[in-house]
Amino acid sequence: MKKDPSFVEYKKILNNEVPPLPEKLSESSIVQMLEDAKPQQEKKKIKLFPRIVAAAAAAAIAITAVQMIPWQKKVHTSTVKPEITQSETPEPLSISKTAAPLSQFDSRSDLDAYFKNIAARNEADDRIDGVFGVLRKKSADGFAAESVADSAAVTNGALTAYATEKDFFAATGNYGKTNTRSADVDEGDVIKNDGRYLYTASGGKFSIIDTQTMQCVYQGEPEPEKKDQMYAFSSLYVQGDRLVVSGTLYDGREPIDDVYFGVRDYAFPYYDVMASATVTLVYDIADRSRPALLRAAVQDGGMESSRMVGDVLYTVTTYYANENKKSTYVPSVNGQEIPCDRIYVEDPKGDATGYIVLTALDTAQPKKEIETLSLLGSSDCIYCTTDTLYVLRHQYWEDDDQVRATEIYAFSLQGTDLALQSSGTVPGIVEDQYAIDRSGDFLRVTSTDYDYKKDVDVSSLYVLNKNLEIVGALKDFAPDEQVKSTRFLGNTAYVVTFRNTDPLFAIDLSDPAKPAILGEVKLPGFSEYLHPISDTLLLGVGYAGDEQNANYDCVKLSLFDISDPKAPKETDSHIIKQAQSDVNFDPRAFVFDSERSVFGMPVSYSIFDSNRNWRGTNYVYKTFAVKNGKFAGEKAYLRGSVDGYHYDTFFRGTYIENKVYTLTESTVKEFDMESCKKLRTLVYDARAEEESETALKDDWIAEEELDDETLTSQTAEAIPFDPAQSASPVLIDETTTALPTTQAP
Amino acid sequence: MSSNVIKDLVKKAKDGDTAAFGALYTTVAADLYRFAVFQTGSPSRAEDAVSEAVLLAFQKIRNLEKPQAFRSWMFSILLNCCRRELREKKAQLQTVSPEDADIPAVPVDLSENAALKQALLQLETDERELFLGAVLFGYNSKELAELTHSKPGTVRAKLFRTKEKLRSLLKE
Repeated sequence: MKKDPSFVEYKKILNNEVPPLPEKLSESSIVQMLEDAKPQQEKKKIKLFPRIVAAAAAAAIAITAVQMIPWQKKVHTSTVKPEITQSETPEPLSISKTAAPLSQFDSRSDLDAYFKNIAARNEADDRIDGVFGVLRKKSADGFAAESVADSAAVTNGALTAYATEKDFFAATGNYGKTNTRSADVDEGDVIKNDGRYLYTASGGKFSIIDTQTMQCVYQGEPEPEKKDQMYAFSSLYVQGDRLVVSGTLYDGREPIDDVYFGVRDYAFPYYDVMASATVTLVYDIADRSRPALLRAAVQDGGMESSRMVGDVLYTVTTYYANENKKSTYVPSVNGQEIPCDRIYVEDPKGDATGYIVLTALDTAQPKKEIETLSLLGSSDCIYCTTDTLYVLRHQYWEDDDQVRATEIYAFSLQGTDLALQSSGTVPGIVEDQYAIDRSGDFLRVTSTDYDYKKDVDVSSLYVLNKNLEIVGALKDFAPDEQVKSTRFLGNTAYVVTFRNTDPLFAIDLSDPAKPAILGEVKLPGFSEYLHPISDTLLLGVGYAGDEQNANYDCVKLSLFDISDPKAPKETDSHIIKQAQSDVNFDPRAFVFDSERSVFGMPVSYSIFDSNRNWRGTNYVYKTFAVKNGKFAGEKAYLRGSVDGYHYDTFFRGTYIENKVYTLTESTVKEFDMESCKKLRTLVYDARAEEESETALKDDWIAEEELDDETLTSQTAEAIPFDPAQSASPVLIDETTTALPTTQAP
Repeated sequence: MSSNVIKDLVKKAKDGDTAAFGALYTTVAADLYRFAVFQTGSPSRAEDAVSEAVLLAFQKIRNLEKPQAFRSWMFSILLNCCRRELREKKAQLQTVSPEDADIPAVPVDLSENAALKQALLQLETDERELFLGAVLFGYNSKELAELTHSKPGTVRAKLFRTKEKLRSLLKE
């Protein structure tokens, strides 16, 4: 040992010192221990938010019930052809719980009274819950004005500069587009690809990369108005020469003290999700190297989700009012409080302090006023068709007959005109936007409920009419199973459930009143995402496992032949071991090239050393060809590995013609699609690259230890990648045991 | 494991999925155990501290707002479990002579490692916490300050002194 051992040397020594994990601390023992420690009624772990009983008598609030906007008012012609040709209109079933009619406040003073009553009740209950309120700060109003004025001048010049290149753009061929729920409704994502340029968003930055020159032509880092604020951009849209960048504007705040330990619960100063606003920046990118800001819009509430139909961007945020602070009662959009007549409330004597704030912004006419609609409540998921936006809200009740439900609110969209259309409730939890589907006048959903008396999960499918009343139901079609993924294809729903037998069901929806199981196939593990590869082939991405337990340390790909929905078959399957993929929870990470019948997905391998100690992550972008119902070749494009202390904010891939691109928040790599050979690398954010790929770099050890080779991931780059050896990931150091590799047929 | 994977697993763990928590646990298990062994000076106490930390973490994981902070959050819980372990067993390390501490025999016993082991045990509890946090978890002074209710400057000074102390202990 040197006289003055560095921290890195200490680390090496200490790593050698300790024996491998004792059996009691192995993963399986720990899982078992947690399982045993669960209280009996918690075995299924239901979140229970007891319905709060109003203790103090509330002052009367004058409420006027408001008529629903009738369905007929919807003039917007839908491109979705009604697939259901049933002549009779099915009657609502008795299980259909009519949602409470939504009402509005007569005046601002009534709205104030609503919150004051909540505050009074809470005080009477001695449950002053300051979590939402105390931490809330005034959001950044009036952010927009100045910057918009500045950029207007730039815009005119920029428009002409790009004119000559425009033709190239029109001739764009095959490239990876964002995998969206509906073909004609765009979804924001951290990466976008327009056939030549790649766009990325990470933290408070967004970048534009020209794949022809492999250069970052623009990087924007807009300054928040106040010093302790921070942008976190999470969604980009590219629509011709318009770029929309949106995300949450966080207010910094001090960490709260943890009640249990008497210490701070979090290691880092963090940003309050409750005290935040959502910012949307619209740029003219006719000149990609000089985006001109056309509009900056701020709406209160954290970013929930957004969708784009044509040029119109719909943004949903969740805002929390503090019932103890009058100034926070009403959310603002661009500094203007939402007028009372645009705020709906389900229960005027209720306890909801959250707001769903929905706005519509026409990006083609960015100066146009932003339309707003709001509803007291919160949102768990949104689903959007070209003419209707559905906000889904999960409810957990302590009730005898119904413990969980999903409330659905339908907002009609007509350009920037927004109107509340109808609301309804289905039993159980509707997991995501793939579990809900509009076809003609009917809405179909799959949900998982929980039966307390029997202690079992209940999977069901419901058909709702335009008033969101249940007209058809297939209740409990899989005993004690949970719905894991759903894909609606025409009048058939494909549903994967998990727990006991893990089947894939095909459910016929041609008669809305009588949904019926057509067929099923049982298989181990389950799919989290289903994607149609062709008319007769469905791909499932998920986890392997035995019948009872999922194995989260792998990715399972399954191909289902659905040419006969009465007898779906698993025609092929493939397990990527010791790996994870974002596709399992974010379908936008999935890229499908229908021309070549090839799909791509980011895969991250966990790297363990010989003692099964986790050492880091190796990122590989994988593509799989599908031919004749089988996997027909696998390719791997290596991004590189990262040690255990750091994570990439995102790791994605896409393609343009015959090139594959892997993207992280710092680096873009270009590969030849066929040979998997790396062609070019662009580090477009050196700071992020440094942070993500170098460990232990710090203020007080920086000067002495940076030479240590084990701390950087150069190894991954140094070893030439041989595509012939396919999926074998490059290891982080020589002590790492070889990972099992999977060879494509 | 990308931050998104961590996020998804944290979400699943919040819903009571023990397997998902297990998968998260594998990413920190070795470092947790190693830290606990050196901090408590005993493999059996380390085992207890890690088990306790895991149970607490699973109970409290719904409080974890920022999934990316899982690692440091686990560490902060373990830190307190180790403190309690030491308090409860009245085994403040400064009262345990290095010979008595049941640190396991190292398979390849290099003398320099033994020296470091002994030197570590002669540090104060808080010094060892900071040192191990920096060395095993790679925390910088700002993060350590957050974790230990201190100021980055104080942490840097303490770490500097700890290094000096170790250096002189190793020279002996």
